[in-house]
Amino acid sequence: MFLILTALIDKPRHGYGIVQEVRQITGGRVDLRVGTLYGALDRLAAEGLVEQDRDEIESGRLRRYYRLTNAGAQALAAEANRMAADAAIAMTRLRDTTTSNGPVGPDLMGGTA
Amino acid sequence: MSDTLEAGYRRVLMLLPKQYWADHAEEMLGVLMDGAKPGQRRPKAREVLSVAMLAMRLRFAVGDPNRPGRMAGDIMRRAVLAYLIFGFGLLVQVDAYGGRSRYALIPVVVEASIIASLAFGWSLIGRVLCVVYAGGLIQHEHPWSYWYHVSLGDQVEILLHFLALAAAVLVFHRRAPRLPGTNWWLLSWAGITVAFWLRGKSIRYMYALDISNTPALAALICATAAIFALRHARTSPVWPAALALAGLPIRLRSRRGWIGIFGSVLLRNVLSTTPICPLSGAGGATSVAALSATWGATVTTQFSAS
Repeated sequence: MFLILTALIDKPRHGYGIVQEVRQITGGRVDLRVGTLYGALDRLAAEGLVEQDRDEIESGRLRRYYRLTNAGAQALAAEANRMAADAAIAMTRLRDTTTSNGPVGPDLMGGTA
Repeated sequence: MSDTLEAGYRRVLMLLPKQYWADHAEEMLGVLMDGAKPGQRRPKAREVLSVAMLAMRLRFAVGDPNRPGRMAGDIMRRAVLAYLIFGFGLLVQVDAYGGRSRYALIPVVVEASIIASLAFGWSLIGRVLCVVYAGGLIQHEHPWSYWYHVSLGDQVEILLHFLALAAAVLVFHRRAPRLPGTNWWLLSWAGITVAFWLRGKSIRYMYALDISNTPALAALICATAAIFALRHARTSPVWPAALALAGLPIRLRSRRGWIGIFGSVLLRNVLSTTPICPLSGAGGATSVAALSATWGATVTTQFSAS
């Protein structure tokens, strides 16, 4: 859900466009399946977080574009803030642990060692 | 991209519910074809599975009880619970006859707990018990050890028992609405249990455990189910469909040998080849549904007796 909303921030995208954008955002870590994508889009549309933008025919195929709604942008911002806060807590505790137990590795210190 | 691939994906998308297919199939096909590799001729298994899972979620309204798939979920929940109640009756019958010397109490308690949990809306407990029970059946009944020595019909009956438990786990999901009429479910359960217990006490040989050998009890349950289905058929197809579904796993083998589910229904009802023929004149899909619902109870007889 989070990644799909993120993929729609800058402009409306069609289904395969969302798949590609999510793949790019995650560095290829997440490869959305079509059933997963449309299941998520259904739920997001039902909650008013995304909506259909327009239909286009490209190379004889239907492209249905989806866009982020204002409610979707707010929900995404709230979720991003929550995740950032959680991440900040995790990093703080890791630093504390590292300080008391010795270094646990450069990545946990932000990759700057 | 080949036409073969597109045709393959179109067939896969046919799994989706009709309305959803009309709304989304073309754009989903576009996504699938765009994601295909050059030279790919067959749908990817992962994509097929993904579409199948979406179709199942939509049809059983998993995650959203207000979707159009709600009716399918309602039908399935009633069918599964009815099937489990009839199965419980048969289990009690076997125990009343004395057909089980080991683990006699455990299956009764577990099945009763499953039914009670599902009837009262404690779906999480019911689902956990279904999984535990399925594991227990595998562990203690060990049907796989003699799998190749039993007939195809018996193999199907055994698998249907597991299928019913799996279906219960699927359709009584976290957000599924509680089945209405709890008191009626409990009353029916009690009535069926008592009837089968009395029958188990009255029979004298194992073969008679098959319900089709007792026309009176079968006819009584058939008549009750038929009246119930006909009453509800006027307002909603849910109950007739649920009873039909519960009755699909009917006793598959007849005197004429292996003839398949629907063939068995037709021969046994229309041609009146069994002792349950007094009800065969009822006619119509509803009566067939109600009759087959009763026969659904027979499928676990041999498994329970083993």
